Amino acid sequence: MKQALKTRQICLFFIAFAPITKLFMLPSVVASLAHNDGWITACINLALDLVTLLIINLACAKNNLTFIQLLESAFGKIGGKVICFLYAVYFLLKGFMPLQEQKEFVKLSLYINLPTDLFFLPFFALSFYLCLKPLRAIGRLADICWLFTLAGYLLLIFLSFSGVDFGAIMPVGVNIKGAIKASYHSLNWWGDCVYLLFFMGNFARQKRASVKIILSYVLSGVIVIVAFIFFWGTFTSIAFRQKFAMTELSKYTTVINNVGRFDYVGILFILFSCTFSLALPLYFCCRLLNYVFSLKSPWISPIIANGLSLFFTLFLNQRLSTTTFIFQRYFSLVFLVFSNILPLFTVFIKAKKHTDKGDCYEPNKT
Amino acid sequence: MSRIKPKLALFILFFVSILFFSNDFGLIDIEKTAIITAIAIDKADDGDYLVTCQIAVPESSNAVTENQKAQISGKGSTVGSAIKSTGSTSGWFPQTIFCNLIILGGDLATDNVITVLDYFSKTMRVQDSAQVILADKKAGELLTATTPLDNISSFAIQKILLKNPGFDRDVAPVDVKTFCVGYYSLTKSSFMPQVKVTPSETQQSGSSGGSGGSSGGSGGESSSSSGQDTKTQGKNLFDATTTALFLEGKKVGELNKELTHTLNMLTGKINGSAFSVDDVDGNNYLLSVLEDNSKLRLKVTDDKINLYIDVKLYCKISDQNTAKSDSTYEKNQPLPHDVKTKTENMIKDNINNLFSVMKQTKCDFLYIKEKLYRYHHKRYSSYKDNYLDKLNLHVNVDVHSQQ
Repeated sequence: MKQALKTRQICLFFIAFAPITKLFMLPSVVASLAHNDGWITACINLALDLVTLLIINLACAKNNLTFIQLLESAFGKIGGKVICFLYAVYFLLKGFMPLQEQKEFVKLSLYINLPTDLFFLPFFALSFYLCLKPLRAIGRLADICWLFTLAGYLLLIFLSFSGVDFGAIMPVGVNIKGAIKASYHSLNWWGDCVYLLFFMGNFARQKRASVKIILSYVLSGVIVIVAFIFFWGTFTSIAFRQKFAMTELSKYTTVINNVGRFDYVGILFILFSCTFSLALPLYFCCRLLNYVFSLKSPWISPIIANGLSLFFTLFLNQRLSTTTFIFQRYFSLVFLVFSNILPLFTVFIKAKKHTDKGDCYEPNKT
Repeated sequence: MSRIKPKLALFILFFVSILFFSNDFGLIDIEKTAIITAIAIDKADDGDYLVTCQIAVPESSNAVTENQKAQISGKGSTVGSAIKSTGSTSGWFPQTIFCNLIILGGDLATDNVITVLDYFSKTMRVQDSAQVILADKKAGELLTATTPLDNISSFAIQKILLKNPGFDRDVAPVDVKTFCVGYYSLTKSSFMPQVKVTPSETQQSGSSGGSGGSSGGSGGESSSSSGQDTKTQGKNLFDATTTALFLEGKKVGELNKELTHTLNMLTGKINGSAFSVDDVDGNNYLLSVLEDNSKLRLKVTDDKINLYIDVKLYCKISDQNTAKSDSTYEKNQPLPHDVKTKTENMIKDNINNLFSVMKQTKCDFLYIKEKLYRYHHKRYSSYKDNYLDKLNLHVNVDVHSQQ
């Protein structure tokens, strides 16, 4: 059977979508705890993800099975479905907070005069549409979006360069306890390595696939680390008050002062990629629900996933600070377990011979 | 399924169209919008804040100045409420996102100015990249002052604050973000230009060279104003060469023009600016700075802090008032020894004076405490309270000409 994705697309997937959601609210969350050592926080999270990614890569190399096939061979059909259901819930949780921060960003910076949640609702229409698409659509998106991500990011970094006080990250390591705490609190934003679990058996492994995938994830991590350094170097003592980091960085240059905020071109590029990045957890949630409940109709799981997400978005609209606090304080352990700990076991699973190599996430294949 | 798809697409299109046309993506009726170019804040007699907003009214008219320059005022117990009241009383929606200048009244500097500026640092309705200045007297007076520099006084002030690179660096501009970073830093020190209105020494006729920082429709109007009678033009200029120093948000001192220039030299580059060196063997010289390589190095031992300031300037003589001109300065020949010595001494004196002001006011405008924390962290705790007293200054100034 022809694989849905190519190694190139997996690499571009991580470059296009992994760093994007970490560039808005996360830098200020980290700055409030880790201060000048915020970039160390990013390094810790990146290292954690890289270990997980390495293990998943080993599992990929060991068996050419999908994650579900691997689970079924180890835990049987019921056990596999239970784990997949838990992962579906995990994806709903993983996508929730980044969605809320994007909603706030769009509301407060793009529709500043009359902010209303209505403006963000079309996102769910797009997300619904994406959830109906097969996996190869994600690969094609990655082929396109990495350009937008890098172009937007580089433009903003270039514009903000002159205003950065690079000495501000000194002395290194004085807030290491804060950095570790911030690292734990930011687990919601990291853990994108988990997506590779669901690409398992669905991509054609080319020569040195593992190295390429790991390097692309390193690049996505470096993008975040550099952004953290630029953010702290620009705002230092008031960094924790800057809610949306990337849009704040570039506006202090003389050229922006004279010409106007053309840096919004870069911001909109990033937002373009970000829209799809936000829909990814819902997408994978849908695929898992299709399998768990053996859904025949392609509409049901997108309605459930997007409906739940929309419901909680509206329900918790005026409770966002409390929700953020709860997610960072209490749900971080959930993210650690599902993003970084459980995937480690994939390498120890001894797979039985599996005859069906079809995409068992697709509704009509279950 | 195939029937549902187009209907769904139509529904989504309709839904998005409603969003688009109901609010113009956030833009509101332009006729009711006040594009605020500057905000002046004073303290009212009853302790409230009095905010004066200068607006560029988007009207198509040939009347030159008055329709472009309008002010609306509001009062409130906080700055935010005062700005809001300007919209409530006038009916204009205050569009503050284009505001590039915030003027604080002189009387606000006796209290902690961060109570005023914090609003601008936190709100997303105003860019915190807006320049902030302290008025010599009332902030509102700066906005009402007419000037030949521009139809809109706030644009004229911005012109003198943000000069083109390669021009004078006799003003130490600061934006809201930088001021707040200084305030919340370990030094708790900040500075901002103090602007005063000075009567113009020469008669001006017409507007000089279009509008400053924003569109506002003044670009096209300025050419038509050039033929105006001088009586209708203002005769005020603005002087921002004095720098007000703040410690914990309160004004504690000032730097004059020379010290402001020296501050700029130590915190950035002064390439393109000039020094006047007068009375050297009866001649006056104007030296242009071609390259500025100034460095500050902090060396800390157990008992003292040494601050080494190495100033290395490459200059050329731009002008001298000799009776008979020669070709030496055209060829970038070495500076006359006396000119070089006098310039070096002048810069040394300015640096020493700058540090005298720093010790006297305890306003650490060079952020030495931050440097101590960052690069000498082990000794930071032992010096953090008395670092200015323990500071030994070592100044080395070299003024060269191009070889």
